[in-house]
Amino acid sequence: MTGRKTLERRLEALASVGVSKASGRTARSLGPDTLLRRLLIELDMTIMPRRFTVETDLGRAASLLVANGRLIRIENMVGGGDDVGVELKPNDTDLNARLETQFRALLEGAKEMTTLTVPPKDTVDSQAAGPSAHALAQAWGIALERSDRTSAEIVDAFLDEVKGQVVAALKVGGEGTGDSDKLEELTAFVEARSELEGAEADQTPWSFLSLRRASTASDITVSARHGDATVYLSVPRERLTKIADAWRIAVLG
Amino acid sequence: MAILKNLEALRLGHPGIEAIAYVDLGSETVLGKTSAINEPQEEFDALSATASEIIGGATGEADEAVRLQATKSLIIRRAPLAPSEAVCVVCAPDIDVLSVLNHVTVALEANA
Repeated sequence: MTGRKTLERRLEALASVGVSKASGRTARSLGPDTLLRRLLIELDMTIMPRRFTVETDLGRAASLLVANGRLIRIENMVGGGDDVGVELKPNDTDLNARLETQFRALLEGAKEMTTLTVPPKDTVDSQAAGPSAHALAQAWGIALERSDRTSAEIVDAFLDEVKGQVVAALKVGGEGTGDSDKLEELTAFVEARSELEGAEADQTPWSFLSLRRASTASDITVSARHGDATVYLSVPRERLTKIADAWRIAVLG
Repeated sequence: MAILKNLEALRLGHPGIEAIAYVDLGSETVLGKTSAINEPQEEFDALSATASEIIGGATGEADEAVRLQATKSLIIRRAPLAPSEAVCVVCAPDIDVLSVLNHVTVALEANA
């Protein structure tokens, strides 16, 4: 069974017991440190308190409490250790080094990593402040922000992440894929939007906007732009949160 | 304004929600608001104008919208029975946007 199927099965199980805010992702290793970097990016993206379960295809697992882009506590870690179950401190060089050893051991040789997040049962102390994902990345010699990708590559990474979830996709200056009626709708939408916006270029590095264009519509229209690369999507409304998460991962990752 | 009670309950029930405004899209004015911190009125006025622009004003065809930003998300839902009015939610970037949209819809329907 693939990691993605395992993840879907676990999410279904969580949904069946009423955990409605569970979400999960599977990442594949694309070379040394890619899974470690991906995990740090997911930690950095997590502002609201979340309990993270990390599992690899080799059966190793960890459970983490994360908030405000910081690792607040390790609840479980393959191999255990003195740092499990205690509030972690920021700016602790020795701790950061120990964490690197533990997380590298967790992901060593893995080809896939699945992360599953749920809101914690207990309230997290708003003053809790473990090491930030940025501090860990710096201590571990991993670059969180990548400057080596073009905007087109970022948009392609987004499309790869949402593959199988969209009804139709239309890249500006490229080809459209998916349902032909939805592609026609997207084309008309893009043309109307171009007329509305005229020559006013958006100066922000990226933008993401979803619109539901009728109260009864089951699909939403998404425009996602990075730099000069833009894609328009038609997506079932119930997948909105997943699509938004995928965009943030593509932009950060 | 009864809707504000529903919206305040929504904000208090979702730790990731910073502020909610009920706005008139035509005049771009704030009809009511609830916020965790005391933000200046100008910020809500700007929010109202942004919401109107995104959703297409009082007569636009869009019914709901989500705009992601680096540090926050903006969620807009047009009131079904008063299409020139809308709810605007400012929240954490990693919030479950669909869940918030659905809760806003319920709050609006409870007010109908």
